Amino acid sequence: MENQEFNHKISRHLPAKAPQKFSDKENQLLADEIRQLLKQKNAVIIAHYYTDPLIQKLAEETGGFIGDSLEMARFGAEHAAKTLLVAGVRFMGESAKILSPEKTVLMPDMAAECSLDLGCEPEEFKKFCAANPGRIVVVYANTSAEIKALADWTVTSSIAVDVVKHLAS
Amino acid sequence: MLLWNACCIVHAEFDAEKIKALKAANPDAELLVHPESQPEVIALADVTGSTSQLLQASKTRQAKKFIVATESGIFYKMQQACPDKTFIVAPTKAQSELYQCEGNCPWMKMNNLQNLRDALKNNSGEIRLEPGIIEKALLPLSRMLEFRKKHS
Repeated sequence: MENQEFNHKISRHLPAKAPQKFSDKENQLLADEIRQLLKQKNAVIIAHYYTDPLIQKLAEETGGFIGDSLEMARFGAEHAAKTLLVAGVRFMGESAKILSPEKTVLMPDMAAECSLDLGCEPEEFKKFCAANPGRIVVVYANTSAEIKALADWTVTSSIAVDVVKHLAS
Repeated sequence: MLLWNACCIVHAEFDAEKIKALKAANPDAELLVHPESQPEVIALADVTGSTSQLLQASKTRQAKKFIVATESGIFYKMQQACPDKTFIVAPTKAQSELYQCEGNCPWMKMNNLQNLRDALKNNSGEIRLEPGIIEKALLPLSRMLEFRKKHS
């Protein structure tokens, strides 16, 4: 994808509004309500390091998790909760669902994208793979479930080099 | 190795020239860089690594001051882990006239306590995937997690 085309695509997916701000009082009430709902629904918050500190703090205080995408996926798969509330971007929710199909995976906003994910469309990637047969397909974790379904390996930035070295040896 | 071309619009904005100037003005600071940044920025790094690896480095490195080239949300955990250390967000330069991130991921910042509450309360925003996709996508993800277990 050319840069300009990519940037236009990105801009079409950007949120229309600036992040919504709430007063301390409002956030306090919301946090209390979330604490109760988590118990009622046997749910746990799995938050990415890049989310608002208020979300990270609440995840910590309620026995949830803060991490990068690899650690988030692992935590979700190993935790006993029935519902995973994933605060991050869509591919993170999808990875949680792939690893725990029996669990309910909820996301606060399904329009939360990732430019790396948007930059790899399944139809284009299928053609790329078909044009280069006989190769091991390694995809970044920041891709859609559909792209992962075309891959042999998934990697994150924490282990990409180690995995590729392993595959090359 | 054949590479697919895409980028993280947040990390792509960190600017090598501005970072050099900031490093010169803060000679006691170390530069922590996420590998989704541009090669010229990575070349300047004292530590390059995933978000978790950068967080770890902020704890274990001797430096008291860091310039951090990754999304600003990480400052919460870094500051919590190292209350006596200073963290400076790495300077950026817009890559497109259509958007500017300045160290903040516009999509990560769509998450707030209100829509977290709403998702839980209404069971909204549920991820649904076709069973066939789940089955196929599980293999590469499981390999990654297995690899991590064996090599950590």
